[in-house]
Amino acid sequence: MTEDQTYLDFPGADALQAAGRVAPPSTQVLDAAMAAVRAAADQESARQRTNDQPRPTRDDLVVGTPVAARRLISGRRIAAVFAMAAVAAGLVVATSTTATPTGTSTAAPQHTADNGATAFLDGVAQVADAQPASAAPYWRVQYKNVKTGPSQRPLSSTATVYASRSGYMIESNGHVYKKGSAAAWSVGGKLVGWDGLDRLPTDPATLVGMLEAGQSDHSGAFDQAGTILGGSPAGPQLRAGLFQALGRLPGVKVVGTVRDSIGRSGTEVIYPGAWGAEALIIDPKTSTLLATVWWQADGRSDTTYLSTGPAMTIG
Amino acid sequence: MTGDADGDSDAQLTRSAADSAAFAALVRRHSPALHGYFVRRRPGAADDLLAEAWLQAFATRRTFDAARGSARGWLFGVARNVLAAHLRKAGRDVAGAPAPLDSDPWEAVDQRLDAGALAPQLRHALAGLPPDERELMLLVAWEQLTPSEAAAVVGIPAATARTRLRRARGRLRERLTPTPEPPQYMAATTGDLA
Repeated sequence: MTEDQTYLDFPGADALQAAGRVAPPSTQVLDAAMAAVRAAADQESARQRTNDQPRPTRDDLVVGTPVAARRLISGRRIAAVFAMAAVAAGLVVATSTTATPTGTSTAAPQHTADNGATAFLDGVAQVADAQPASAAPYWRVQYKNVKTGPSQRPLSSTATVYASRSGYMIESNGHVYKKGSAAAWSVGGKLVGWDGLDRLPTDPATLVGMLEAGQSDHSGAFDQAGTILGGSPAGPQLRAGLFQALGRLPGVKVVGTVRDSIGRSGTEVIYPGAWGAEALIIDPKTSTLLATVWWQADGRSDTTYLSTGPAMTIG
Repeated sequence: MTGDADGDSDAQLTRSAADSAAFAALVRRHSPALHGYFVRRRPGAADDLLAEAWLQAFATRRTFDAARGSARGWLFGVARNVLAAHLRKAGRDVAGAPAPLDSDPWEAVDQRLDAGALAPQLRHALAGLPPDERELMLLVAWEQLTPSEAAAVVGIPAATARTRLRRARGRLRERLTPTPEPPQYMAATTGDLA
């Protein structure tokens, strides 16, 4: 008996194994997977030829988890890879426009050459660190999502989330969804609940290491930090550490002053990820994350945080 | 066991860091197993998830270290992360909301067991396992991974995985071993008391 078989020595193990048998994938499925990899390889080769981006090194990459896990997935992302490969190979000429002050452009902004991101985000961290902590049992986040494409009218939804340490509730468009499981946020390859947030280190270098664990590039860390800063009950010290961590991610740039989707002024910080750019719009006076913006191949998505803060009751 | 005892995949994955063409052999070799992993846990999205997993694996192939584990275990680790991201995304009612803490694919797995007419006792016994133990057990039973490979997939030490597998086996034995009929005198005693 092999070692694996010793663990399958229980009544019904044969039936369990039989229930796991599946038909092999079709040729079309295999061809699609192979084509996706070839497109990615072509893209990489084109980048190396044009030397427009440094080749990833071991220091840049840690074991793979989903890039931009909550955003592009599967077919759409594969299509984006194909499109990017074509651009990299010089088959298509794309132009990008700078983000407008109203923040409604569907093309990612050009990045400024001056990277003042570290100094700016360290300043925001000081403001965050000085904010009062809360002992309220709930954390309330009201936000608006807007998806804008080049050939479709904007799709908009607004929701309010009440998170507690044991569950959360979402109210959206008049419907209430109660979640029995605890709310959680991605940190590296793990999900962390409210209690877990309280236990996270606040040292920026340590946070960068945790956020990048299991990520294939820095966009995962940027995305996760933004999500925690925007919608979680992270305490002042953790928020300060996260802002500092963002400022230490290679490639993060300060774009300048913009307005979010409801007209509030903030400073836009952007990370130009491999699959699309993501930006955070931050109010430096309060350290509030006003909005996140994600530019994809087929448009942009805005999540605007309308209000965020502690709540003693639901409703 | 269908692991790469010959180490070919380890060498190919290592070589692919500098020679992307070497990666194609891995796609051909491991796609059926990875596709099976997704079909068993998310049948409706398996085709897309397979392509997504290969893109992730290609993007991060230089992080593979043959000294730390097999290519097969590493690839399943990538697949697991892709699946987890998909489940987290699917678990959100509204984009931007926090993900549920338990992005466990058990519901799909249980449906599969149900479709396979697996004995209800076995389904209930599996459902009663802690998710971490159940995941390891299914990686061994269905993906035919070694305990060390399964440990690498979920990111825990091999010794911890073995401990959890032993514990899971013990729980399953306890719950699935037929209980002998009560002796006659016990039945009589029960009847008297009733």
